[in-house]
Amino acid sequence: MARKAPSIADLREKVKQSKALDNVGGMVKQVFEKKEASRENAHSRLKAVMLQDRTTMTAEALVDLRNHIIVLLANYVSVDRRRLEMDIKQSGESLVLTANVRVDLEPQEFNVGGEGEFEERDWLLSPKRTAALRRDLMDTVGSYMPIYPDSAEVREEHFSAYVMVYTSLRIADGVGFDEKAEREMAASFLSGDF
Amino acid sequence: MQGEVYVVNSGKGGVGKTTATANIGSALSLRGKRVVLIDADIGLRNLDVIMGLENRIVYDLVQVIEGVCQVQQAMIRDKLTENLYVIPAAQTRDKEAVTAEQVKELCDKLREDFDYIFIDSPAGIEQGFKNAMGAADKAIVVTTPDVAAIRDADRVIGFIEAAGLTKPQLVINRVRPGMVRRGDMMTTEDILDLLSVPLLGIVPEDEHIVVSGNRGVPVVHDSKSSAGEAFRRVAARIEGEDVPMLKLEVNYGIFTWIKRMVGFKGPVGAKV
Repeated sequence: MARKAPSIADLREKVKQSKALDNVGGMVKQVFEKKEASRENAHSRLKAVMLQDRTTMTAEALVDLRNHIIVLLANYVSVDRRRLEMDIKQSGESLVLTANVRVDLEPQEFNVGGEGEFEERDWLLSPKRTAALRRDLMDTVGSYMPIYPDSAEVREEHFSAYVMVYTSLRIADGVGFDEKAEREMAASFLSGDF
Repeated sequence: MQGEVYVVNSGKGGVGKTTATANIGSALSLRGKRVVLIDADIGLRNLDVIMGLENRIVYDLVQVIEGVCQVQQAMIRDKLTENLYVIPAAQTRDKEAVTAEQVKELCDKLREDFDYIFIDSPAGIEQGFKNAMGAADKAIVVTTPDVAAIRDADRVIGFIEAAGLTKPQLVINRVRPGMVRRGDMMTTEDILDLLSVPLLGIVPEDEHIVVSGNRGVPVVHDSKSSAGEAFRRVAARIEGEDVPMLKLEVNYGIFTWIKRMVGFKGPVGAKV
């Protein structure tokens, strides 16, 4: 037996029902779906763009510098590249570049006393290696930007399950404004590099 | 008496710098301090309108500096608070009409009679900004929680620090607690992480600000306004008091919740 074609009224009813379902679905989605927070996006974009503003370096040069610092630190400590926090901030009349890395410890090296409490543990870097790292930092960063002589500092802070290695250098040429860098920064955003 | 000179900057225009100057000055005056507000935005003056004093202008800042009149002749007394005066900017001149040294000389003269001198700086980092900055002891940077304003605030903070002023203090204006809660507006912590300056105040988005601007009465005179309360607290902090930040809460009633569920996104305010 041939199937009866649906009437216009039937079709309208079906469309109505599907719209109602869409509305219900939309409401359920609104309740349960978690959208990506745009504030995180704004924060990370600003962090990148302000680094460039502060140094007048291009996005490409900053990524290059970061990679060089990671390679350099990897000669001294075990580095997870995602855990390198690089920043450049004004401090008094000069800019300071900081590159801090978290070094996770092996479970057997953990302290049992809980967060913030640990027994005596050897330094990751001996005084000799600390001095060598300072020199290497001066050379590496100095090839990208003018820095104050002997301004490199290295220190480490121990936590129960990890060690933070803090490094910093003072940049010599202060704040500047570079239209070329601005344009390149805009291009890097458009290409999605940052 | 040796007053302190504050410059109020932002970098980006339209973030509420003039409103902040008017309200902080009025709040300090309500606390019994002698305050003078200088509009340094030559060619684009607005402080007089925000304060409701636009009809009382006889002389302006440029005329004082050029010696056309005495500083006392250009100072307009506020209509609501005692000990609060405004020196308006010239509307028909450009920013090169005055130099940083001249503004500094004027401020040094005013220090003798006032507790606080606030300079409402023009937006941007050009001559007007340098004039305002050159005379100041301390700086307040106003920003809103959006990417453009924060980036520009960072530029200004860099210049202020490089100029050797003390670390500027930050006022975050037009914060919308509902958006912060939804993750669609940067938090105070995010902004402080980016700018690395001490926080002076958080001012919520508040309809009363628009009404107060329309009437020419700073919002600190409105006891029901959350923004007014935030500015009063800023003034207290300037005076050295340890005052907690205004707690911003979203008022989620059942009707608000239902409206949100059906897709209506009305304005979200803050309650004190």
